[in-house]
Amino acid sequence: MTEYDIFHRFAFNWMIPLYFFLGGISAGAYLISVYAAFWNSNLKSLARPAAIIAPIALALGMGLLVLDLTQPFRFWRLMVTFQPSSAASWGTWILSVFFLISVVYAFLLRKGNEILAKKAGYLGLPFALVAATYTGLLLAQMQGVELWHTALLPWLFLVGALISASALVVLVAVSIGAELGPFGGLRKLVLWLIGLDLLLIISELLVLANGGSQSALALKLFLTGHYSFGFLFVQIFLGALVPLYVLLSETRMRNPRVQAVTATLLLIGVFAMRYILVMAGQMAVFK
Amino acid sequence: MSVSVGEKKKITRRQFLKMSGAAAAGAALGSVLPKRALAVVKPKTKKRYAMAIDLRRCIGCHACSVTCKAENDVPLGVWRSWVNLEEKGAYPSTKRYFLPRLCNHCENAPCVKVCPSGASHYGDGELVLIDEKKCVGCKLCISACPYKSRFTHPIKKVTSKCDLCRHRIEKDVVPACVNACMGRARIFGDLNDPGSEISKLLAGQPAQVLKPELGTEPHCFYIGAEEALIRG
Repeated sequence: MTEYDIFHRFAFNWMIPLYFFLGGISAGAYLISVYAAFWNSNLKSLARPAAIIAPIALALGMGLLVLDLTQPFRFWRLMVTFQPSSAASWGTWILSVFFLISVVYAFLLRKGNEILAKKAGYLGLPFALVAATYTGLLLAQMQGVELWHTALLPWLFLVGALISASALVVLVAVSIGAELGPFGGLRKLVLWLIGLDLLLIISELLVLANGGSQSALALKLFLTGHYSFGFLFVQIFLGALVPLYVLLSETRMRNPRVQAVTATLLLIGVFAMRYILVMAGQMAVFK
Repeated sequence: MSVSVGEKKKITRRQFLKMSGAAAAGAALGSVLPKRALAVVKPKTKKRYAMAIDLRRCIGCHACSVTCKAENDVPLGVWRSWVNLEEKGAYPSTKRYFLPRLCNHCENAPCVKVCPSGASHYGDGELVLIDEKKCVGCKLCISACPYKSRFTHPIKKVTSKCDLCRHRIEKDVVPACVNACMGRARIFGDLNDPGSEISKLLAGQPAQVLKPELGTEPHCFYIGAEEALIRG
């Protein structure tokens, strides 16, 4: 059996997953900042670093997004049109609004204007939620790719966004020597999030195992094929199971070095998830 | 039914309004009815272009791929039209199957749905077209296309694909690949015209489309395709 076919290049390389990663960190950091500033007084010291991370990560991510275009100088075209059927068009607009709000919010929080910062913070919450989930919807919209065409994807992206943002916030807090509780006070939250993440991944794999030939190919890529090392070892073992085990002990988590290593592992795991998902989705398509 | 000035003096205002209302209704009805009747008689003028590929006649000569390259100035490494080849069976009972490919011009096109700039759109004759001036090159459509018929044009740096030789069919000339096909395996035409060759062919032959389960409603039909070839 020989086969001859024409293959066009993959549309997405490492830049799109990295944008998903940074965009997720931005939205997640914003959510954590609002949570820390107004809902949980124990975490108050996390609010400011998280608020500053949000616009910076988003600016870097959007920069990557523009550079990834084959016509970067035509980026303005997306800002003079609105295509209601396209998740990317919704995302462009909502992300722009979210960026402005996150800048204003970070500025107000830095100035110590609590009342206005609270208003801005609450205003930005729905935009942050959309910014964290629309990237998943963007892929889920493509009905031809069975791996992506699932309603779980936005929620997988949201959970990943919260995990990676928590990890980066803790990493920053540790590096500036802030006095905080175990894992920046986010230990329990991150534990729940990792559990939820694993649950979502398991249900995704189970559905893939019962899908068509494209799903079977995707599952093979994950478990035994090209991305099995990245998925099983980097994403699941290093990025979720090891942090899960380390986070279970409160005393271990008081050590800043352990905190930093755990946070780094979580960040690597979330990036691996985005990278493998984007690449495997492009690979697991026939014709 | 119109009321003259002389009569108007003799009738009350209410009567006048009633009469003029009836006149207006009558006039409106009169203008609608003939139009409706006409619409039934008049043939549909809107075109629905489609391609039928009769695989019983395809010998895999790649003339369509080559002529498309020449007609549309398609650079090296990318293809608007190409032919898949598959060999099945074990020696000595083997057979080779060909599957000429092009943009399927779906009625429910995933590429048009995801386009954030409005560059991918439905054009005249239900063709799926790309406005090269609007395309920013986000490549979402390339990933979204279930038939993998889109690519980034290496020179123009925009997304490109088969447009069924729009420049030719606008002048009532068939696409270049149809012209070049020596087996006459490619039949191009208007599905809305019941007298066209493609309409007659598809009415009399069982035809298949690629990935029908996605509900994209492709306008590219295959006749005589092996099931294993279509399944993908």
